[in-house]
Amino acid sequence: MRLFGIETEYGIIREDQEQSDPVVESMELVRAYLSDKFEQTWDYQGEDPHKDQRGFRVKGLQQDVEEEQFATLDANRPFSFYEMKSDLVLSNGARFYNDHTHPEYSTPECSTLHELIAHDRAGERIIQHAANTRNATLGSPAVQLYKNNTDFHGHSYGCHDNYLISRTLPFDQLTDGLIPFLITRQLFSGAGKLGIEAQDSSYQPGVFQLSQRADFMETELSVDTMHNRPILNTRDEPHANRQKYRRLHLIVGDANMCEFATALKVGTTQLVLDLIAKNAAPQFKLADSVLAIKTISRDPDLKATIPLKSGKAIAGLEIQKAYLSAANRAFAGVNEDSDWILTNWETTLAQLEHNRAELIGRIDWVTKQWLLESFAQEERLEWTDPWLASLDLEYHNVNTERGLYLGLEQEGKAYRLCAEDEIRTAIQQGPTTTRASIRGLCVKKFRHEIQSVQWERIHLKSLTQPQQLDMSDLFDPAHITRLWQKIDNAKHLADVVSMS
Amino acid sequence: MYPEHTHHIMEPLGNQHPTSLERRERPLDPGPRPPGPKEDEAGPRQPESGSPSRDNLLKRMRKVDPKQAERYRQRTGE
Repeated sequence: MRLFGIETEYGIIREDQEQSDPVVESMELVRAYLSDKFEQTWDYQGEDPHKDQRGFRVKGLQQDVEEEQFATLDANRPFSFYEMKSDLVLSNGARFYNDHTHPEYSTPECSTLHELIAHDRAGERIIQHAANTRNATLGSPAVQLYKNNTDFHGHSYGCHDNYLISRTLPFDQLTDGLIPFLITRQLFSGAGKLGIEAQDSSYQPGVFQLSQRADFMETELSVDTMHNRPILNTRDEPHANRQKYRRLHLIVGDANMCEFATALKVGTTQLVLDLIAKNAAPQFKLADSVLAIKTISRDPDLKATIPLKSGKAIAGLEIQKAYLSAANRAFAGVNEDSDWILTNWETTLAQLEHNRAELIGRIDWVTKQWLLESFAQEERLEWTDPWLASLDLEYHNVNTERGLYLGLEQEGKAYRLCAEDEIRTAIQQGPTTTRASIRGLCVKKFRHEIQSVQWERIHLKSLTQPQQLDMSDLFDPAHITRLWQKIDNAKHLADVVSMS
Repeated sequence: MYPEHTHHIMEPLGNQHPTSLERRERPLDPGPRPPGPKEDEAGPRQPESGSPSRDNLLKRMRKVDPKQAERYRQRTGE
């Protein structure tokens, strides 16, 4: 069984104001997706970002002080914390809300890469639709949204890829097998960035990097997500049966515009997790993984080597080739998804080495570098020219009339994995093979019967005794189909819940 | 990859009941969209090679405000 999803925090600006209020703008943006008033349905019970997969609970997070300060300021606002968050559960099973002043779209749980790409793209369309509605109210296209991870002034926001894995996998085995892969995954999943920055620090222009997030990685393992960011986040919120499952919550990745890059990022990570579960992952002991992720990001020529504890050094591409080789031995011919990943992983590594132009429209950093180089040549600009940083930002604009990547796509220079009708379907309904389809159907058909929703449960309104639809162990596609049909045929959700 | 891989267990959208949430979520305006694969040709499509088109993409790039990134400020997220 495979289950994964992507959470994307978008950057948001008001171009008609010198200084806009990010709390209000993000809240209004989310609410613009509704045609009537907001009703809180998200169930926050059980969410505990202090809980660590290593078996303890931390007293505080690095972000707590800053969060307290914002909470004090926000307490004077004419709306509550929950109204500010404006959590929506959509009819496709996704969550759309204001997360730390960033509109966030969390895809529904997906079981194939094809589903995931369709739902990631659906998120872009949904959030841009909300912006169009908001702009119609404002009377000008003032609100613009960016699917990126930095403001070029030391503030980063995330794109997290999530995977359901077995609780029986020892956490040390997971970290040992995964960290060298994550450090080098940016070779094909980096979104590209012009300049160097660090948390809350100034911006140094002129250097083109593979990754937007590498600058913000400060430690190897941590439960933190907003400060002291880790290469491998240890938050323990499985959103499933805690006795059986973990949710691997990766915050190290960039938000991708290229469908191909998203598919390869998640597909290769899933294969590496499968390798680790078989105890078949290659073993690399890096001398300093935080330094290594930055070294690789700042080397678009792909020549740099990173030191190992043994005293030797190795190139990032060589680490990736070792993982590919192990995955080929273990998973070639197992299923169609695995074969697609293996074939394209191999081709991509070879093209990065020998024929990078072939990756334009597939890999974001290669595409962005090509665009910026072309423009700098055309306009005779130095790499330190601020215009190029602005082009970097606009690469990620999800407005079809402005975004540079979307412009490239309109010219037919982007590799597409999903058809438009698949994206339209993904806007309306969750993947039929996962519990997201049940969640989506329930909120679509029985909203007035629902008290609250979490990823793994739905609470029903009840005058007598509390009732809930427990989905914490609902992963078998045949079971999901049967339950979906029951709910679709039911007059009341309570009828199905009381039977199950 | 794998249009035939997509399972359609549910009824087509047009056959589903109109429901409360459908009234709550605004219908999406189709608007101008990038040309994906034609709907009867779903699946991977090879990008065209060459340089950015002078007429379209370069024009779009020239319209970008050189100060846009300097003005862009966000709060730290996750």
